[in-house]
Amino acid sequence: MELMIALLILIITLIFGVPVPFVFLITTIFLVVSLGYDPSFLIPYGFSKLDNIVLLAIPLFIIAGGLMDKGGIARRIVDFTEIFFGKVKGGLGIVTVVACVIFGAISGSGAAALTSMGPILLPRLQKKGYSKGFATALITNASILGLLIPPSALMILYAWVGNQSVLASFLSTVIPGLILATLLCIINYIYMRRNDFKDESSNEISVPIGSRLRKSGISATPGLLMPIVVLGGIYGGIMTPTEAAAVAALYAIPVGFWIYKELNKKTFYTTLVESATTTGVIMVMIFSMMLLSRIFIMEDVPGLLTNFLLSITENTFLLLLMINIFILIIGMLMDDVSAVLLCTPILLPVVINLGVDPIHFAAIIGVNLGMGLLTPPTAPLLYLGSRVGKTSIKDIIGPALLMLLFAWLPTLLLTTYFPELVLFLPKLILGN
Amino acid sequence: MKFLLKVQKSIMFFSSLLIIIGLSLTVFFRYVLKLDIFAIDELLLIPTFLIYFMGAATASYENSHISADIVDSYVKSKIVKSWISLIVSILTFVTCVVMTIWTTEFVLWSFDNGGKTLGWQIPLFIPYATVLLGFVLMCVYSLVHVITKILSVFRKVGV
Repeated sequence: MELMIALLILIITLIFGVPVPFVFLITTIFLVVSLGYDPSFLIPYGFSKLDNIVLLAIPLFIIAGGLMDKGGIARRIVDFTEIFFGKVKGGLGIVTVVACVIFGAISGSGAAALTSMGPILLPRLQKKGYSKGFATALITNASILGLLIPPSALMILYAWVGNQSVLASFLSTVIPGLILATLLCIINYIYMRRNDFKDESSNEISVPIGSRLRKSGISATPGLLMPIVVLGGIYGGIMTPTEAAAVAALYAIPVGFWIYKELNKKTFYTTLVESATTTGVIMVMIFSMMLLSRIFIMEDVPGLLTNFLLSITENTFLLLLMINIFILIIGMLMDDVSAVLLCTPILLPVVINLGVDPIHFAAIIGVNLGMGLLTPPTAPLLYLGSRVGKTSIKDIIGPALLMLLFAWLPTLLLTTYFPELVLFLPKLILGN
Repeated sequence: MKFLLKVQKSIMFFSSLLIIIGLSLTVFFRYVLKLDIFAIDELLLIPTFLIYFMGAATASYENSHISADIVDSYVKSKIVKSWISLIVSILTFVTCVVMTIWTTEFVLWSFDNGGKTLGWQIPLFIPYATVLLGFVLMCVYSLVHVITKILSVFRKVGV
């Protein structure tokens, strides 16, 4: 009974706009009081969970992403990608998707990719004849690839909460990310074929590819080296993800100050402070969710949920479908970080009982929550996209829905029902 | 209030720098000098928790904690919106107070009985106190929001 009331409190306070960490804390306080727990164990428990070097990778990747964003990396990546795809019909849409993939490998955040890439790509897409709504929807969808292409803050959280390998979790979302990127490119191509485009090639494009490659390549190299340093360092066994994040942040400082010259003392200070504030927002949410999940585990919520699901059906196909719908609904109500914190401790034991590999589940959760970022009523990235694109939700929602149905949904189904796709890279690189 | 915020931001800035440099040095020492920095995670414990909880307090001041705001998107009446906003800020403030009380009890206990870190023998109540400091600041800022929103409701109903 208390658990049902707690669930009700959680939903109502969330809907009424109480900040997510406080939603978790209010629910925790209710459960502590109503179930008669002594609260003295909670704060040290929350502290001990936060006192983990793996978690420190999150603020450091946020700082690195912030420094690269303010340091002018985004524009150079777009220019560089345009050399390869700019001349293809509908190529700018492909440039958008590929640039977001590369930026995702640097920042690990969808919102960072959207705010960095949006202002650069939107005017170019519109100049090519893309409608404002479609262009904004495409950038918004593509920016979420930052969540799936490693390093991903979401996967660090999943691995940490679920006690799984960070590297395996990173690798689990690579193939779903690439499938999604391909499907977005296909949708872009079909859209482009169906619409009358101006197909204006810029003067730049008529310049020989060799000289453009030299010019843009040299300019983009410091930025493009970053994912190589980060991912090479991690998978080469030289650095832990946390150390790689620190090196990435340190690397971004001279690149921004002296190579791209777009960073100054003021923007450097602001970037670090803003990143620390974002970190605080995430960490206090993790702290509060850890307190709540401790109570959930003491009350055996995962066990109750498993029994409930098994009482409906024992068919794994249907059970996975129900779990997907559950995560999708959570993703529709919450942002990705809160949702992964809520879903992982509750659902991971459930899916393990059902025989699902935890690394496979990492990808299921990643793709689902990526979809959730685009699905109303909460849809934080869709709203951010409309702000970045200076257009109304009404204009974006149609193309966004098209992408949800024909890019995200197939990716989710492939991720859920073809675990070999997800587990191929973790097994190849890390072994069994 | 502005001075307090300036101090907070300076702490966040220097803590971030310390962590970036500290962890990068670890890699440099290990792979270039073939040396290990002794218990680096203990040295970074206090700046890490300072970032976490000063950051959270700054977000409380800026009202930038993540929220769903579903009702707010659908309610049209400004008066109803301001009442909802007031209730939300009261709930937030009360939660902060409860958390501050629980954290104070824990910090006081750890001051008397708490241990020290294994390597550098740093008393653990110091990093614990950063959590308390964060919640105290969140209390202060959420109280300010409550007062602001009470005044806003009064203005909207014409009192």
